[in-house]
Amino acid sequence: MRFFKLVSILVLLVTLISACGPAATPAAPAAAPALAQPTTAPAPAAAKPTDAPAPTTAPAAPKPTTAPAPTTAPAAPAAPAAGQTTMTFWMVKTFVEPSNQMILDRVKEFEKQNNVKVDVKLAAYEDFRPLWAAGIESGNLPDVSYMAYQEVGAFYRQGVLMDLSDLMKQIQDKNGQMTESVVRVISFDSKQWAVPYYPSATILFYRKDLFKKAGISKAPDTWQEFIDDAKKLTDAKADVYGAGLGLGRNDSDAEWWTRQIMWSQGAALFSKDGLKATVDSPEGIKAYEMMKTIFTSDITPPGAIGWDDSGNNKAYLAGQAAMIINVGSVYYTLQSDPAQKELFDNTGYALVPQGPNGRFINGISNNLGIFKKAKNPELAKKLIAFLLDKDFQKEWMKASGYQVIPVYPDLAKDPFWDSEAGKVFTETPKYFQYLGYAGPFTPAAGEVYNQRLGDDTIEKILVQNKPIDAAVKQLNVDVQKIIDKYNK
Amino acid sequence: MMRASRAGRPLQSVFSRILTGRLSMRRQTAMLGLALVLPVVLYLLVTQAYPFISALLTSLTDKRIGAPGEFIGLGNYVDLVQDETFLHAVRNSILFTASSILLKLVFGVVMALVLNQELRFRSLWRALLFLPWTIPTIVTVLTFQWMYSATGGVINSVLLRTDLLHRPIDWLGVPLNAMAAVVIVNVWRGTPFFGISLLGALQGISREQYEAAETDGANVLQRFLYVTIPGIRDVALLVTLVSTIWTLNDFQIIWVLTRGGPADATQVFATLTYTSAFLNLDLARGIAISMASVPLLVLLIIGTARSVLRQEA
Amino acid sequence: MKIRRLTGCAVSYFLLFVMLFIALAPIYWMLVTSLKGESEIYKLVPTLWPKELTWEGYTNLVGNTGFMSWLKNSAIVALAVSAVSLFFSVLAAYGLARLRFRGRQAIGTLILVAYLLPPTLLFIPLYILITRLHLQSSMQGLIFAYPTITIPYATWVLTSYFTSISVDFEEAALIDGCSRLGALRRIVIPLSAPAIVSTFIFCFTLCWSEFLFALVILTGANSTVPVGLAGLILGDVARWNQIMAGAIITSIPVVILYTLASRYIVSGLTLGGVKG
Repeated sequence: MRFFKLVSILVLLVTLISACGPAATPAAPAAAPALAQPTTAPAPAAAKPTDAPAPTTAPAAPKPTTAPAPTTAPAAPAAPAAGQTTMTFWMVKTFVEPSNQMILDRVKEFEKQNNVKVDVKLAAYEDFRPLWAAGIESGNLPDVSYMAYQEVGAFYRQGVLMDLSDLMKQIQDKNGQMTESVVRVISFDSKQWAVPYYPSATILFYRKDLFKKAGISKAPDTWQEFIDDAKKLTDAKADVYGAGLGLGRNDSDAEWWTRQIMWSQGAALFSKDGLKATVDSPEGIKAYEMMKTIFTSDITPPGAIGWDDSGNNKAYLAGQAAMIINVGSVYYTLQSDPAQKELFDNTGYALVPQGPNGRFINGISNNLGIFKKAKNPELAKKLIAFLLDKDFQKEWMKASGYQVIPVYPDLAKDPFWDSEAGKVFTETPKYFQYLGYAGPFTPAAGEVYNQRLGDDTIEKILVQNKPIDAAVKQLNVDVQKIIDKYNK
Repeated sequence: MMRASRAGRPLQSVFSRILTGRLSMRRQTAMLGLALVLPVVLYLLVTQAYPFISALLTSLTDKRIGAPGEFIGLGNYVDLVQDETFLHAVRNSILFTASSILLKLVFGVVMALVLNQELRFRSLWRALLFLPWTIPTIVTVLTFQWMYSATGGVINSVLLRTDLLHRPIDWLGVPLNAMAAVVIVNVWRGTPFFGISLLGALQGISREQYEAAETDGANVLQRFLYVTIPGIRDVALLVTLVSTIWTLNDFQIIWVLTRGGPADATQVFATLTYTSAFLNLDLARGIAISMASVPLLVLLIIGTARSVLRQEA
Repeated sequence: MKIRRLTGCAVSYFLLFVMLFIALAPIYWMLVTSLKGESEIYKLVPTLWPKELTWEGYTNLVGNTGFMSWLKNSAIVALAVSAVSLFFSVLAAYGLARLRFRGRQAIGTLILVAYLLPPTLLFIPLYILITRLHLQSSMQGLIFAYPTITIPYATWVLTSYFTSISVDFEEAALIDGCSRLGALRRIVIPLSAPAIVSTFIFCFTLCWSEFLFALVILTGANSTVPVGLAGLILGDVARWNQIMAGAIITSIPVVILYTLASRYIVSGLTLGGVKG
């Protein structure tokens, strides 16, 4: 009994100490080992830990009921002894290394001009999830953070983002209006909750030489043509397959191209108001029939069902796939690696196929946002404006090898885009649609994407031999469940 | 007879100790024992107990990342029990963990027995067999993913070239294969943990015990059963338990290889928790999913603790 | 007798080579990939030995990334955490294994229960705690966090090793006037040296390959090797030869450590003079 008393006293003590906020004196920061390497090393210099903010409003309090709503913490800039503020900037690693370096250089410029230190954390998109969660829960948030539009929507709904409409106005007044379709997706409640930074788009890459050999004169314009062409291009003995389309859960490409088929056939997961699941329709069934055909006609490379994001890249670079649908990362690899010259010369580019309902391209919209709890919001806004400066955007876009579609539409007229591939990429924004179609983006749409429900359905059809109408019906039920969860 | 100890305090003889000093010896021992474990206990209370309790309480709310939650009692748990994906995860977690642990244990025992022999270059073999454990998990997983691939993947390529196969195996796209694929990676990586730990235990069994058994007429199998196994029993139990916990919570291998697919065939607690808590921002539900494995593990832990600590000190 | 010994030997060697093949085949693949040029890596039919052997994976990794600093950080953290964990775990394990005190079993159980919460969930409250201690974005924060992974394992494994050592040795020492702690230092630790060393090495490797805490607690300049290598993967494009080079280089220190340690250990209870 005495033991348990002892333990419970200890537990109480611990809980009290933790709930009462920081009592420990800050430990001397470990001087980050100075990086001698000049190039792609992610962050400039020594990391000074900034003060832990708002001690009492940490939302992760174990008390189940109340806990104060995360209001704007008074932005007390952490001021280390040198009198210089330190900001934090979380940025996603793009697929193209020189463009990452350019961002770092630009940030260094900003540091000089504003006499601040910017602690840059470059991370892969997937790695941001635990970072955001830990940051939001602990209140230890960066000043500027990269966010895909799904995060903008989700975080907006949680009430942790800062309204950036004024900043948007300021930026657009100075640099010109941004493309409507990328602004639209981060606008909620008539306000903007992030600043678009770089959209990406998928296009069709195809082997001109194989097309010639198969007697096909031009790239497929519709999905039906795509399937027919793929059949002609497939030569299993030579290990060449027409349709380099993958389906693994780690293959986000799969979520895009399956939706492209769905939407182009007139089907949609969500209604216009986002409150109903609408995929259980004749168009929806037709779309899934099409997807099933693609994977049961032996026109996809073996193992494509289990691909991840790099699966189609690898297949195309190995000469195994005659057509793939991908963002510009493949273009960059082809163009920059001299050993790929032959493949590069044989590659053609086209818009993704359309269907009776039109052509749809998934807008991959990458933005910069500011959390309400950011410690240096004014500096954060400045940094964002600095990065959105049109002249810098022009240089940065050129270093990013067609992976980046400029947010300023007139930059798309730059001679940089005057190539076969460039012309295709710059045409894409007008076809942009986003998760949540036929309605606006909602967290429910984000969750459906996260759970890979669409992908799952076609997998069940292929792997478990589930009949298509039953599978689509089930999908509808599951999507509706998620919608209801967010709207009760 | 009084003998002075090195510290200068007179030590009583065994006889007088029993009559008078025993109680205080016991208390001294007890206090020493507590003092020895205290640092570890304190540290774990702060860094594990508090988070655990906090997480448990959170699972009784509807908390999402970035917003406070409201108490909903067992709502999350009720929801989960009716969720098909969750039930798949239960089944898969048991399957994944049980097969991995069994294989690792068997291979680990074999490894330990072999390495305990007086082979030439023993240290070299030990170091080489240890290698799989030392490679960062993420690299191991990506390497296997590539080896499994039907596009430029070496496993399929070699099997096809030696005519053992006619079509490449789709490792990651077929449910049963996918489960096998992730188990293989886990076992490849984790066997050295069993092997080397059990080797340490084997080395603690003195040769005299074997010789005594041999002179008593025991054959190889009997020596194995009555000398070897008891000698490594405690360590084997421990290592199995710890590895079970780790395997049950294993995230990276499955997430990077299949992310729970195809069609939920490799969905386990860890991947489902991650999706819930970090992708969908539903923290409370994510915790509830993880808590599902706790009761069983607690039983295992209590059983093991009792078994290993069974003897009187 | 000789035949039996020979077949025993043959069986052992056979098993040994089978195990070596399985263990080393993927590592061989990593090695080979690290020596290939980018475009050869993507070939449809993989080559089992590079057609064109190149060291650019290694040179690019060491020269263009922060790899050396990642190595240094990983080493510092792993050594510090292992040393501290071992120290306290040896004490705790001895207490659990040998000393009777109230709540012994309960405490022992609780130490293992600590493991139940998976790191993916544990790290948020832990990170909040670290933030409150102002240890975020620092190596100290990581050193503070890692023992949550190593201590329960180390304590318990050592407990199980200690309980399997016969008490006779210590009793003899105690009767000779040794204190409990002296017995620990002079008898138990030397006898369980192999176990302590292998536990140390496992703690080391646990820290060495840990990913999640390092990702969240350290900032961009300070990375450990797993986070750094993972950062070389950019979505659907990756620098494979660099990543594999990193993996190969990373495993070398650990293997050297283990080889040295196992040569140094005298196996078995051969300290003599104990029985009789």
